[in-house]
Amino acid sequence: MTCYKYNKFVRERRGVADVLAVAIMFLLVVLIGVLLHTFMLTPLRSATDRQLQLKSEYIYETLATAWVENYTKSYLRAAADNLVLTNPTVPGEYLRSMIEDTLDYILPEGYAAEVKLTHGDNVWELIYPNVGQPASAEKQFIHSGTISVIRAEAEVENRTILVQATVTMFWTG
Amino acid sequence: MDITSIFKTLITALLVITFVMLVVSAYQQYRSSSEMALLSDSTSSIATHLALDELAYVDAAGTSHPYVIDEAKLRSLESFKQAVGGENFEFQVSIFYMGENERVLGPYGPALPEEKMNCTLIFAAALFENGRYLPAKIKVMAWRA
Repeated sequence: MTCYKYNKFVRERRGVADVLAVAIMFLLVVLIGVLLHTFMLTPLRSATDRQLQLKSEYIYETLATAWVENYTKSYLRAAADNLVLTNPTVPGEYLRSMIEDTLDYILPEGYAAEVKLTHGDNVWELIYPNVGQPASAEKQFIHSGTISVIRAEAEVENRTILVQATVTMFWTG
Repeated sequence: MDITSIFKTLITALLVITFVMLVVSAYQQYRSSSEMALLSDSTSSIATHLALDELAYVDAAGTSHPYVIDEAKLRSLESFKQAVGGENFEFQVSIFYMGENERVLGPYGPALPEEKMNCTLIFAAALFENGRYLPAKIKVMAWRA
């Protein structure tokens, strides 16, 4: 009777151990599967990010080079004029509308852009589409540079003003 | 061997086979995504080379304007092949720009061969046309030669 009980106990323990081993193997397979499929897309995600950074750089350069319609000034130069000059060549509202039209055309689908120019405490800013400031946790693709503005009415040593310009591209979904 | 042992052995074998298949499929997908990443980087490299050098507008004084595309240069481009990282790529270029309606120039370059992995990059640039710098989009489609 004692011997029977002992054997039954051993068989039950072995059964539990086998089920545990199978369960752990199953968990391992699931875990490894998830890990493999997560990390295998890393190179592609990095390449996509590099392309988006490139696109952000080209958007900046396009705004710094292409002329505002009906004027012979680039978008960023006209915005810099609006920031530091009392009588800018391109009217502020018209410029904003033209930059919005252009961003609407050149931005990748699902992305917004923030164009920001700063000189001292003065800031000229435009976000298109108007989705608010990009969240700090979101991935942002930033390109910045300097725009020089000549102020004709100023004295020679203060004639050239350097304005910091930044274009930030971010995902809006 | 009782029925429980057979069942356990079968489950173990199934798990091992699933694991091996999972590793093989993940490796194949990893290789494919790495190749796509390489193609994407090569396309970016080709696009940069075109925008900064080969298609960049040169004014009458001989000054080159990077990021400004000269359509005349694109029309007269002789080769649509470029070597990147020791590999040869072919590409096709189109230009889209705003007028009253969207206008399209191109595509310039060879037609895309069937069943070839390709990468398309659309980026912003300025286009020099009729003495003006217009905002435009350049589409570069590249594939392995």
